[in-house]
Amino acid sequence: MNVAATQQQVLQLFVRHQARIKGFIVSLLGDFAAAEDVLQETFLVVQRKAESFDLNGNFIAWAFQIARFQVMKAQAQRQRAADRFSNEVIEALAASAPVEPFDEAKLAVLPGCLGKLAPQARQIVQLFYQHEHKPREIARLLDWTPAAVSVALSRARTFLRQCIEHQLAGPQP
Amino acid sequence: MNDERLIFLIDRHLDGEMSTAEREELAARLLNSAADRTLFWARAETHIVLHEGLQRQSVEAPAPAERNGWRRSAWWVAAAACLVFGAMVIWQHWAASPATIVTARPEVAVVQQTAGARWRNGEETQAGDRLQTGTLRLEAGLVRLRFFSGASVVLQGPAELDIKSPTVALVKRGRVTATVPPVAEGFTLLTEGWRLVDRGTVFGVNVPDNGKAELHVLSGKVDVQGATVARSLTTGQAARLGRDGALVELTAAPESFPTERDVFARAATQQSERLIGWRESSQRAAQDPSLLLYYDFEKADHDQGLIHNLAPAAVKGGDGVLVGGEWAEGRWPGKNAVEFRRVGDLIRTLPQAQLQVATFVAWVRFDAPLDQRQTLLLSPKVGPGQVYWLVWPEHRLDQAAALTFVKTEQSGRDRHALVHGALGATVVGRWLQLVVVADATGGKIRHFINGLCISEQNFGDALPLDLNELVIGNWGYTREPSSFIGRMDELAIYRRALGSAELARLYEEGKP
Repeated sequence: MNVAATQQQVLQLFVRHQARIKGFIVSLLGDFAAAEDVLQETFLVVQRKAESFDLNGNFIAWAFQIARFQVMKAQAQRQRAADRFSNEVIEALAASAPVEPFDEAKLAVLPGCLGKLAPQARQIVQLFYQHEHKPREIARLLDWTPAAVSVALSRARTFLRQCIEHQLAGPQP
Repeated sequence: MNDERLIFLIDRHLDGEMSTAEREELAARLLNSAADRTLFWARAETHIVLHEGLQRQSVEAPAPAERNGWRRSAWWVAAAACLVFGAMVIWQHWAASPATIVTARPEVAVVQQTAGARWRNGEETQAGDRLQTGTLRLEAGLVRLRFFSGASVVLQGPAELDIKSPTVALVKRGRVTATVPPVAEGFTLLTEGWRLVDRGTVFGVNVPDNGKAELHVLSGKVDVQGATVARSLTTGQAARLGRDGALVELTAAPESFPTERDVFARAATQQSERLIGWRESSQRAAQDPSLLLYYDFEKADHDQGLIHNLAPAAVKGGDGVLVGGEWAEGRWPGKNAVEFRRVGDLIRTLPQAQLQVATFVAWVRFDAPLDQRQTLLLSPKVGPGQVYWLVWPEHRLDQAAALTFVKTEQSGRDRHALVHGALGATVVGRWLQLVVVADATGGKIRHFINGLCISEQNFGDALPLDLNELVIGNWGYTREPSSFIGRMDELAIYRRALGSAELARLYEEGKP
């Protein structure tokens, strides 16, 4: 197979697994906006190194290697120690990250699960995940304390995780 | 083993709000325990699903405005690769669950004018663009916004403004001047530590990089609310945020804040420079011997309704006849365009050509929601070789529309080169460069928007495109609504396939 064709295939794989790769970056960084930049950097490196990918290999695992390195680079620029993991931690987490394709079925049941949240919790989830406001900004908008926002987010995650698993487990009687 | 504590720490990390001590505690646990790392990824999975799911609900177009536009979408991937399955890439982006309970981000403000505006991430804004809630990151230049509440805000780069609602915005960095008419009284600017509530004013806020906000009241009155203060400042007063939210009086420096007039003056200069630049490049472009047809809509004979074909080897019939439609302003003041609104609004021309390879380049602005079929161009003679270039509504895609180029094949069958979701709702009102490169010899067709390839597809048989007669802006001979509603101010048809680099350059030279 020629180089251009390999590159084309690799880029297609990137597009297909973009949600998974972005999720990996988002989870390690804890920052949506920064993750978007790192994803783009990762894409550029993937494009450059496309021909070194073995088309029989696990693309997600290969892309994680590149993304992991880009995450470390992005982290190195951060001023506050509280905002970054050490490279050692990133390595350890990256090595244990699941490399299965992103499960679109979870997205299909998500609206139903969001609908079961209390209105206020749903609003906070939207402000955080859709509008990408930080908890302290959400606190200011809603006139809550930041700690209360964090607790609400945390509870919503626990509930939604269970709800999604429950929905995917099969039809309910 | 304390999972509750671990979940708390992981969530703090995912929230992006962690203290140094918490960071160290979490790091130690993750390094020491494989089980804890597994729990990290389990917790992260929900985070990922929520982010992905809710971001896909925010349907956005190939428009600018920060995070809003290109970056959020898979577009930049498609554009870089011009993937054969481009349509699928875009589908990924547009696909939204029909049972969506969460709506897209609300639109809250309009860009009224920009001057030398450079956005972080290289996006472009045009006057008239709608802005959704979210952060604007202006690196340089001036931008004037009108919030839907009626308040007007001038931003001077570098600045970051996080728009929360039609009445509230957070100034993260930079200089901002707010002009608040009575109808929008109560308009509020937030800064770290302050809440500034307008009581009928013009006021300036400056947040330097050290984060100590300054307020200068140019006229009227502003209520300042902080952790330890609650007072009002009036015309000519100024203050800076001191320690613990205290208010430190300053000498007002109204001249250091950008005014609406500054934006206006700079925008006018910039627009005339862009127009002059475009004229130069347009004259160069018009010398290309491969042009079949080139309308710049400039040297038009208004009385006879004739649009001159400037192509060097123009045939006699290549001049356009403006059957309906009005003359209007184009990309810049002083640039002519034709405005199409009704069924009879169209241009007829006889280029008298059959081309196996052709490139169509059009500068257009859609002025109505893309909820009906709109014809950019077609050859009216029914039969093999007939072509159409259309916008095709896609109701399932929430106000987005497809672009398609159709050719009737030798067999009589219509072959569509369709790009799903190519045009989002936010393209309405903006000038766009739309391009189709059709190559019947190689059986390929590519669509470009604003200089970027969005799709490459296989395209039918080797039969040449029938360009003997063309109708621009309308279907022409049908009662079905299919009129282009908007403006066109440049149209070129080449007898060859223009490459990506050449099209990107044409876009750069012609962008408003």
